[in-house]
Amino acid sequence: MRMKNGLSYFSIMFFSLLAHLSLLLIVFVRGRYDSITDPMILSVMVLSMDIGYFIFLRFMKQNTYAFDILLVTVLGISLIFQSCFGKVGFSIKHFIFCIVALAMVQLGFKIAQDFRLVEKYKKIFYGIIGALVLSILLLTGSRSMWISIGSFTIQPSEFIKPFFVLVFATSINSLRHQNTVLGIKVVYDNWILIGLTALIVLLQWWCRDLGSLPTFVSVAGCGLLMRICYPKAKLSKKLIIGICVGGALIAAAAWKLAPGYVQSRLHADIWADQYGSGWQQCQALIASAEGGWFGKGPGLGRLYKVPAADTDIIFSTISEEWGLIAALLAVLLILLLVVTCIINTPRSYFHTTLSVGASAALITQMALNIFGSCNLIPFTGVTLPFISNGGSSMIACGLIAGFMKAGQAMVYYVPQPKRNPQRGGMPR
Amino acid sequence: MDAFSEVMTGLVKELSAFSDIIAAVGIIFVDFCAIFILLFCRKEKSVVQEQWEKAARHVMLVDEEGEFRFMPDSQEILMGRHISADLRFTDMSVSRYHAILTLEDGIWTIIDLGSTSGTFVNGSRIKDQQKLRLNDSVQIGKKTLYLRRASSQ
Repeated sequence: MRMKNGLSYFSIMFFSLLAHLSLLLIVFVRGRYDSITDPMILSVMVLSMDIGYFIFLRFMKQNTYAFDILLVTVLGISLIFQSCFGKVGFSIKHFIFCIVALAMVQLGFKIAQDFRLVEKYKKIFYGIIGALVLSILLLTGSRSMWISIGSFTIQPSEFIKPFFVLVFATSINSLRHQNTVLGIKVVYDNWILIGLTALIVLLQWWCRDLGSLPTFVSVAGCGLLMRICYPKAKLSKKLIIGICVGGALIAAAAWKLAPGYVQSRLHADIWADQYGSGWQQCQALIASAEGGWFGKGPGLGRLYKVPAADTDIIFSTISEEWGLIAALLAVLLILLLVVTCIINTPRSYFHTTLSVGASAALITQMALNIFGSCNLIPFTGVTLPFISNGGSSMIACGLIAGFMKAGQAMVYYVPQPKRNPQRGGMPR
Repeated sequence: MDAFSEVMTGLVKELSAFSDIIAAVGIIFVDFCAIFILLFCRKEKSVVQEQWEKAARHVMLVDEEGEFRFMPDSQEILMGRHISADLRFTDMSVSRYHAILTLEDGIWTIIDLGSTSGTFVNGSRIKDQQKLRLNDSVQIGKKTLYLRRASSQ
């Protein structure tokens, strides 16, 4: 299938379909289902999503498409995983979330492909963050991160993440002009962003939900580092030492001054209380071990009965039913999204900063989810990007992926040559 | 439909004897897919480069003797003595962060970053952002460079 950039993508589309077909064959052969029509419906829907998106891409004018094909491969695998927990079926809810995520990728791409557009509407993006913060304060009830509308629950803090990534890449040009306040050179935009980070940290502290805090801190850290380095690696040894010492002091202070409920998480021994607060993690570890290399088989696990099996401890649920290799492979595919940004490096500082922030958000969230499931770090209860169930997470991750795509497939304004008679017909 | 279901059920029963092999093969196919997509990204890189050259008007910086050539490969090119500069000079007359070349809508511009010795375009010291045209000379410290069309060299 030849795309608008002149390349034929038939081979990688074929391999993407083959990857899904091979996983679906595993579902047919090793899965637990009542009727053969259950995996057949799942197969039809997964392949429809693939082919439908490939046809959609055919009409899109972009420089790169490999990122999209990798993403639809990840989402197809995610749909297969989510439809098999407990028993093979078809998770229509997750299918809709996957379609929404793909739509959000395109939206994120359209927003971020032109840095001047982002610059023009940056106040709107700050406004959206402000509105989301206010919605958490006013609509979530007593110190919570969730808004309940009937049977639906929305997590506004998830929606803050993509806009938070975006604002850290704005006003790059303003970094050239430093203002002097009380003899100290300052850039106003940097201080606004530091203030915004502090506001979000305080909000999370107030809501007693520090799960997403490392994600925000990593985005802010990477974003500020990129901004300090502007135009290129303007980072002295003194500054590096200062940042390291400052970061270590803040981390030590946060560790010591953390409230009781955080301290109990930080120093928890899950095996000492395996039928109480450590139950979820203990079950996750036991199930992962039971799964072995190739898993018990789709739908044959028992971890799906544990709360948050399809969100916060999904890595263990996949490990149990599909095996450790398949779970690691899913994680590797998400990491490859970041690798594509390294192969096709962005050609502007705005897109580089955006890609670094987006990669930091995805990698931190993945690390928190996987290491939390494996009890290597305290359990934080964050989702695994693109794999976990949940609309808020899918929308946020879709937008973030759209920003990464914009870095690879940014729009160049190709000038039309004008003939100048005074310069001997040479194009100006 | 029922006949098809029966065929599928029979096939699945036949294949269930090889369930571990199928699991391993499935994972290998996913691996292959990932590797092929990554390899394809390298192919895309050449397309992106071509698009970039059109937008950047396929220019390069050369010195008078033609011994030195530099193709700008991003929207902002830092010129200076610092190790991180895209276009690095070892001459002490050049500041560490001397000037930035910027591409906007196919037009290359240059801005001085407060350098000690200044930046000169066609012999005149620049104060603000200055547009560059083909064959313009840019003097950074003691070094003079010319903006030329890459294809003509």
